[in-house]
Amino acid sequence: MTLSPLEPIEFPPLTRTDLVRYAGASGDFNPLHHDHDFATDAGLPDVMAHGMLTAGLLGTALTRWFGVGSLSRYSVRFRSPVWPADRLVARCTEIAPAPDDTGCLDVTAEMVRAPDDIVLSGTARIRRSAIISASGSVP
Amino acid sequence: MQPGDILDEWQFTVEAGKVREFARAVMQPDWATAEVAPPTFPMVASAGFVERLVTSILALDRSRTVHGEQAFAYARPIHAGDHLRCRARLVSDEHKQGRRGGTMRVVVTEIEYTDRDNGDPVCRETMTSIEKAATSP
Repeated sequence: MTLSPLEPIEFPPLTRTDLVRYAGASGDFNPLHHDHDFATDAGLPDVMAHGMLTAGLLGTALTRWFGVGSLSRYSVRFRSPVWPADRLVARCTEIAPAPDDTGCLDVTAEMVRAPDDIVLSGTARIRRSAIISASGSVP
Repeated sequence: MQPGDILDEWQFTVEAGKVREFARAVMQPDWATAEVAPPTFPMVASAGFVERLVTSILALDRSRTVHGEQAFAYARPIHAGDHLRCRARLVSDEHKQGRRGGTMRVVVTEIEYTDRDNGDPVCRETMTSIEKAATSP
């Protein structure tokens, strides 16, 4: 089911288990993300979520808004670290026709730590074919 | 090491179980039946390379290295069963004055994923790694 892109998607509060699950799934075993002693020795208050976990969650939101396989581009900038217990909300902030006249849509989205702290900003280009097949759900 | 240099080449088979494991880790509601890889799945194919890049090719200090930006351009979605050929290049490696003094290092790498069977492009991934300036003792 495709949701309206105007509908923010809230994820459950992040747990250390979520970080370990992402480490195993992605193969990113940087100890900053699971080893509390390593993280605090490096000056962090706690283990830090993988930036690409947050980017992956925003990717999930984009897939729920625009459909599986709908992206032709996706890029993210990491703005602020994410920690266990953070409550993340994906928001789509802008949708506009792509300037290249291909019929694609350019989307701006962000991940916010509730209530209002932007931790990651993203842009994506949505394929024309995905827009046609989802017509009715994209404004 | 110069911009444009090939840093590594490898192959990666997209296993169905791995696609679902990754889809679960990024909290995709339909993870249990996912056949199409989530948008950031190329990270799985590049994880071994990124580890080599950070620990030996560039030898960055992990405790002060952060991920600045990440971008993907997809020629098509990645599916379970794909055989990918992967080639990583150095785009740039620059030392810049850190905001709080010292020198920070900004490294941009690019990975091209192509279909092993027909040579068609699949995805291009661009990663920016930042090694922050060492704090003075």
